[in-house]
Amino acid sequence: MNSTNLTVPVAPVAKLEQRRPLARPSSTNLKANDLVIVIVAIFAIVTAAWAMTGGWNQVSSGWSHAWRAAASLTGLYTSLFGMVGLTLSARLKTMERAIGLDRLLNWHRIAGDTMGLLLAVHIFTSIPAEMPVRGGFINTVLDFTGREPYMALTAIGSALVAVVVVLSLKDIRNKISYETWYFVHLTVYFGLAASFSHQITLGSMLSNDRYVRLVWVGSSIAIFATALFGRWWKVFGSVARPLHVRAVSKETGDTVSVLLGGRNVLRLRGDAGQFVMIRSLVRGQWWKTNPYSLSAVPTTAGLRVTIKNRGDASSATRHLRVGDRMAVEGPYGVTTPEVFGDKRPLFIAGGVGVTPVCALLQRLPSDSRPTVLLRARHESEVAHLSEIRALATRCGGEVFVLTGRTAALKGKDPFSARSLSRVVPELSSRVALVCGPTALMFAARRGLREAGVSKDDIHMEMPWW
Amino acid sequence: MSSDNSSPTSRFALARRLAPALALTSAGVALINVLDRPVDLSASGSAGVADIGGSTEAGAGQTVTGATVPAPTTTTVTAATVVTSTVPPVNGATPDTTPVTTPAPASAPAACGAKKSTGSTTDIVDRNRVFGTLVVTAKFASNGELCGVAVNFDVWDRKSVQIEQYALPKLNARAKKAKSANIQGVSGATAVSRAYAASLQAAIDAKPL
Ligand SMILES: Cc1cc2nc3c(=O)[nH]c(=O)nc-3n(C[C@H](O)[C@H](O)[C@H](O)COP(=O)(O)OP(=O)(O)OC[C@H]3O[C@@H](n4cnc5c(N)ncnc54)[C@H](O)[C@@H]3O)c2cc1C
Ligand code: HEM
Ligand code: HEM
Repeated sequence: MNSTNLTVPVAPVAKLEQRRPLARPSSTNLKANDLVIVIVAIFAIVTAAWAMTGGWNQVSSGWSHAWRAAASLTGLYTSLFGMVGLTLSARLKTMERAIGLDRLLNWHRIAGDTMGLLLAVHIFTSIPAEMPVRGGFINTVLDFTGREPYMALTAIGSALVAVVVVLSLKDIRNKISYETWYFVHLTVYFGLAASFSHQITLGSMLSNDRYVRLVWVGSSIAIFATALFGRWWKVFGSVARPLHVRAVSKETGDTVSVLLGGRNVLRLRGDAGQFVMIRSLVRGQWWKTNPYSLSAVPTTAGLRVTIKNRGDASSATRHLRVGDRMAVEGPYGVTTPEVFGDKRPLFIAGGVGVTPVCALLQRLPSDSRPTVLLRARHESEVAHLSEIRALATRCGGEVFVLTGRTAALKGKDPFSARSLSRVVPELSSRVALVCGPTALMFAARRGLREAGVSKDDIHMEMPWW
Repeated sequence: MSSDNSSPTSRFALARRLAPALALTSAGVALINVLDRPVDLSASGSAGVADIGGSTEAGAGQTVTGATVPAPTTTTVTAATVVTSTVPPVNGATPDTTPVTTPAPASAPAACGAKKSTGSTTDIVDRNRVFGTLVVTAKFASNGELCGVAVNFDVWDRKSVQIEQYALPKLNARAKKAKSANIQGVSGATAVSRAYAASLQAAIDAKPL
């Protein structure tokens, strides 16, 4: 670090005695299951409405009817999955508190993929459905691409949805930068809006039943508006009330920790184990957000994040200076200290995945006896290692650092059930938190499951991109 | 890794990443404008079904939940209609391509329509949903035989207009052939077939003697 090299985060700018933890994140009684039930119920209601407004009769009265019925039902489902996906991506507070942003977005991905498939089926059933009344295949296609009112909009809107879905396929997504993908992803708002009108003018159910139509249009507009404004309200809010960089310090060769403070911190609620979406409001960086875990319990003195140099945005953090503004969304995530209950915690972290571990250890009771397994190539690469050791010792726990290159460990999977039970006492009755690269998370989960740790006792934040 | 880059990011980073999204959106908007060539339904109402002496009226556009739908539409379809396949299928209203033989007006000018009778105005209903109404006018030859049918319908959405324009010529043809209201319904148009048969039966029942 050449520029303003600063304080160690543990001795922060604000006077120690003045700082107190931020309010804990709000809790909710909503469970993942409740969300599933609501979604299933919505599908059931729409299916019933479809069946009762003639859909079911159509199915059982000959092919041309059946095609139409299928076009209608798949159209309704396509739209519903779109609406579900939209709602999930809006990160509404109650839903986020219930299942965490990572799961919201992973569910969003499932909804999006499903929507893509259904859209294909919808298009391929609507063509035979309308061929008899439109004079053959060619005429139908011509109608659907512009001769029928609103169908040019629909066709282009669907194309945009299709592009968004295709770009989100893992292999393609990995070839383009996160921001390129994200900006294209935003065009889906336009795509969805553009393909709306035809639902009303053509839909068997919607064009004919006044009350069903009223409910459909009303809820579509409500969901769209909620998602759009709900999402962007948070973005503007975070930019309008940014935090300020209070301190930057180098932790290891390629990680720096940043303390974000200021008056606006008091508006936030958060806890150890959560993460924030950060947007540096400096030249060349303001248009990117990146998720980073809190590496210390958030207090009135500020939020500490510890950032590893991985690419454009993260490397730019090294150039941050005290006073720079940072827009912060969140904190998000549900792996707060409550997940451990009365059980002994087990932390498995790889690389910069130690960050939430460091924060969570600060919040554990002194008799919790946690075990911390850290995976790194070398001890000097583990950020906050001495802090972690001190914190673990304070609550009667142990820290193990598994060093060496992964290739050198070949054959001796450090996360197999056998290796784990050798180092971790009382393994099967623990609550485990796993953070780090995806491969590590999968390996650790497999080992833990084999060692008899129940599924509900394994917590991890799956990446969502 | 660009870790040793002295400048945080290259100047065009944002432009480069924004370009695909902007290109896609502008291409989309442009294509919509190029492709969007909706065929006016009111024109297709008369083009699809040429009628003799019937009045083909398409009402002014009426707004149904934000979408402009020309409705209500009143169209007269008569059995004395020659629908040729040369009429281009316009916008969904594919005319019945099987030509309906017309009683040539010149050879038997008074033969058909010597007597006329108008049936009941019947709702086009599927379960509890009403799409509109129709009323059938039956024409009889001097011998009392059913020889032609004209229908006036009044429906409220564009989809029904399409279905009616598709089904009514067929129904007219079938009625003329069967010389009664005892006809097979048109598949895909059950509601209108039922209403048609009912109204026609009423017209036949009320046949002037
Ligand atoms: C819940 C969570 C907590 C995290 N906590 C930390 C932490 O405490 N410390 C830390 O150093 N890193 C953390 N990360 C990883 C960190 O977010 C990425 O390293 C960072 O986004 C890389 O961005 P970049 O532009 O520098 O790198 P790039 O080279 O642009 O990207 C590197 C990788 O990060 C992904 N990525 C980039 N931007 C985003 C984004 N906005 N959202 C999601 N993925 C993105 C890319 O797809 C790619 O896989 C965390 C990630 C998650 C999901
Ligand atoms: C097919 C796979 C899809 C994947 C993997 C996916 C993934 C994601 C992810 C990771 C985000 C969060 C972006 C961020 O804030 O950093 C997101 C946001 C979003 N997605 Fe998707 N998505 C998919 C499909 C769809 C579809 C089909 C729709 C249309 C309904 C959609 C609509 C949205 C919207 C509206 C947002 C919020 C964007 C914003 O305003 O920030 N996505 N998606
Ligand atoms: C090129 C793409 C598309 C084509 C050709 C198409 C075609 C059609 C057709 C012909 C109908 C009438 C079916 C019927 O008789 O009920 C219809 C209805 C519908 N479509 Fe699409 N559609 C397309 C894209 C979409 C998209 C992207 C969505 C969702 C966002 C969607 C949602 C619906 C809905 C909800 C209905 C109403 C079903 C009903 O009321 O019964 N369609 N579509």
